[in-house]
Amino acid sequence: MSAALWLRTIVGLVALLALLAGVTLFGVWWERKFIGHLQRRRGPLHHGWHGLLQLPADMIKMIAKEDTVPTAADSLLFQFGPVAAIVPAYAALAALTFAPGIALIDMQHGLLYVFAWETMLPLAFALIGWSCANKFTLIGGLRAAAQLISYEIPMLLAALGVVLTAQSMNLTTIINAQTGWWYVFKQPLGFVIFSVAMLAEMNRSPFDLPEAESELVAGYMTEYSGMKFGFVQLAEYSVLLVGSYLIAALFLGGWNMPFLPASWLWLALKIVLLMTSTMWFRGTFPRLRVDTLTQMSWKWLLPAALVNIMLVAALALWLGPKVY
Amino acid sequence: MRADVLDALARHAATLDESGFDPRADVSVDAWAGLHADLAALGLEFSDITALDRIDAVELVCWLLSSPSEQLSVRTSCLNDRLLAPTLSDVYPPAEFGEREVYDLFGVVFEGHPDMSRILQPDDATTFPLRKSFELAETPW
Amino acid sequence: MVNFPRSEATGGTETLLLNVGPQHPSTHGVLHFMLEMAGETVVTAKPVIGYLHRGIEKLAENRTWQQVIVLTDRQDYVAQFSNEWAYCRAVERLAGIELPERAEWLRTLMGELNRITSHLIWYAGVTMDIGTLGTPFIYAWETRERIFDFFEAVTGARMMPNWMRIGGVRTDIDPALLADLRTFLERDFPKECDTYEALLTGNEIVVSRMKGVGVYTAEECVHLGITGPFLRASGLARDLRRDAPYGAYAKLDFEVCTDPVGDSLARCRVRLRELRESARMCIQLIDGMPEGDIAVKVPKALKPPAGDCYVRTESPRGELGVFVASDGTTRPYRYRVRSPIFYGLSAMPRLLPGHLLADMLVIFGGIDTSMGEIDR
Repeated sequence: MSAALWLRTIVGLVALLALLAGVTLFGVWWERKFIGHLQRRRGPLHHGWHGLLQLPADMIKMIAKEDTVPTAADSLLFQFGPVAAIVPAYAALAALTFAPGIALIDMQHGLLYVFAWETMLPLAFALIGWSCANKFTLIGGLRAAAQLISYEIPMLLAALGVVLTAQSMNLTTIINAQTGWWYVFKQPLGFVIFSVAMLAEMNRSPFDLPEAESELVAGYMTEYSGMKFGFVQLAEYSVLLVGSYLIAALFLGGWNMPFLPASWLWLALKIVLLMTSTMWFRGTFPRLRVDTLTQMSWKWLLPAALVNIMLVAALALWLGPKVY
Repeated sequence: MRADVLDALARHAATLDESGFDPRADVSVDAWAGLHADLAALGLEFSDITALDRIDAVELVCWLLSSPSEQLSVRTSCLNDRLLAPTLSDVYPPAEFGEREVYDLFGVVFEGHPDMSRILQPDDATTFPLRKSFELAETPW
Repeated sequence: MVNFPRSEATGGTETLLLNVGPQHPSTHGVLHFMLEMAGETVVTAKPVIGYLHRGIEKLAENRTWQQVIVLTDRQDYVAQFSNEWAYCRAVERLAGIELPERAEWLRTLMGELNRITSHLIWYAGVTMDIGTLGTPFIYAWETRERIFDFFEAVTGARMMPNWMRIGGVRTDIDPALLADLRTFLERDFPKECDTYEALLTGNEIVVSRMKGVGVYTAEECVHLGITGPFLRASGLARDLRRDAPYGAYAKLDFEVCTDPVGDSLARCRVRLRELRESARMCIQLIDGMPEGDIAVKVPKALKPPAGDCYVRTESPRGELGVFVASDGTTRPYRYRVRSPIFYGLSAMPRLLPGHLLADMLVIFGGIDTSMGEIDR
């Protein structure tokens, strides 16, 4: 490996870490502000401009907090849990292209790579849930595993429709294929399935069962404190970022905008809007019940995804892949 | 007062007193469960079970409703050296909690109760605070 | 390590003992449920109470009759006026005190406003239980604040009013305040109620979670000692305000809200309708408020004749009974509260088994707990 490649990799990794931390901090602040205004209050206000300095304060608090390990916990796995959560979350970011040519690695099969890392997360959550030796975390971890696995299948099938028409798993190619009509107009069913399944993947309301506060206190992360909790939080926000990115890239045209020149700004705007809408759901919707949740995936989303993929394949065959 | 209720009271040798605010029937401890079984069969509803400290005895007071607006109390007395009464929890399910409370605060033990344990005080409490003999004083930690 | 019994519900494997509470986000205080779980299904449920036991019944025996009123506020801090009222009525009955007309009307007005604030707390709690982040919670809180401002203007306190007296009430209500309140109840409150209904019974997810969950017949509820809105949601129109009217209820035109279905959603509908019904009653009370004294003269050293009496009132949670016994001195010989949710809770071991953990919280939310009243 050449020195330039090394440099590029290191700079890229640091930039991605900064992006992840920035998104998490901004996300926390924005979520508090946005939901605050939904609830006819003003959210954080006192530190800095509209409470912006609350974030560094929170970060310092989180780092400085006592790091407790329950006596009954499996100490090694308990320590390892946040790492197992943060590694896939961080690694998945590597293949995201944020503008034409701006990516750590513009992989040939970037989409597959991202999905592969994302599917590691339920393992980490189940591991965390089990290692704490706490029944609430155990139920939370198992719920996370069950939920993420059942929603992954319709999600992947819906993404397959896009891959089928774009004839590539490369994210740049997929986005560039949407310079005309976005895929949300060509495959509306796929978009709905993908968004719903992605919302479940993100553990966001109304699918926030793994951390259902009223039932399971804080689900699988009940026992974590300090920076370990911070890492789990970071992983959650990374999924939120990756999920919003994928919806924007696969269905909403990525950096394309009708009648306007392509720019990373559009992508950023779309991601922020998508993240905001998950917060909107969180502020409005109650939580689904655990059995309706899995039923919805297996009984509705999965058959719909199969119908969608057959529909897309038939149309692509009929009209020709480049046209459709 | 309904005739069938009066019948049931007479059958269990209860003395009826209608001079107070609400009719009250006094019955012996032995007839306590039998009378309540009969009254429940007549459709009387359970409202509350509690007790009064009569210094040398504990008076159990059970409030029943013969209609939503009419209430009567059925009472019995347990002497201090034999604080025992048959349970009503199989006749009136809510009495299960009520009797646990009477046990917890007065020390009356209900025979046949499914779970005769402390309810408001900690499990290791030794006193019965609503007895007048309970001394209200600062207890060292 | 405790060995758990093997249960047939799990196909012969061990069940899991889950301690929900006393520190848990959705037990509304310090209630403790010991749940034996088969996966996510409740096999047995055992409520453990007493964490908030303050010995109010014993404290009352060492105070004068008037001094007990301050304790009744603390007994159920969500329905303060209802508790004061029940106690005052019991003592007045025992001592044979007749109230001036205006005092009764003022008490009824505060009692109904208190029903609104109490139901709003139930609403806030139940929406949190089913997993909203707190938007409906805050909306309910906001309306409750408006009414609390009124309480503060009248009694000087928001939570612990200590306003009712044996023989009447402590302060009169200014006509301007009443006019303000009337405007609020007539103009703003129905709109707020529309929002509450849209966010709860009008929400698809809520309906899917509550419809058909925990269906109990009126006979079951009566047998298990459940009263109040829980019972009315099973179709039995039982309400002491109508069946044994007290205060000014006999002169008011109101409907006893019932629902034939008897599931968790019906319990929400009944309470939401009671909100509107209470507001309607408050407006009637303000309009028809008679002039006159607000209290009769009662001796400071009140000595009710020896004897005892039992009075039941319709608190927001159900039948709140107060049993007072006097030995002819200035202090109560015995003060006993029949708490509606104490008996409601005693029904839970029979109602909860077989339900999912999430459903259990919904059903349990239907009895509208207030730990202060359970533990006393």
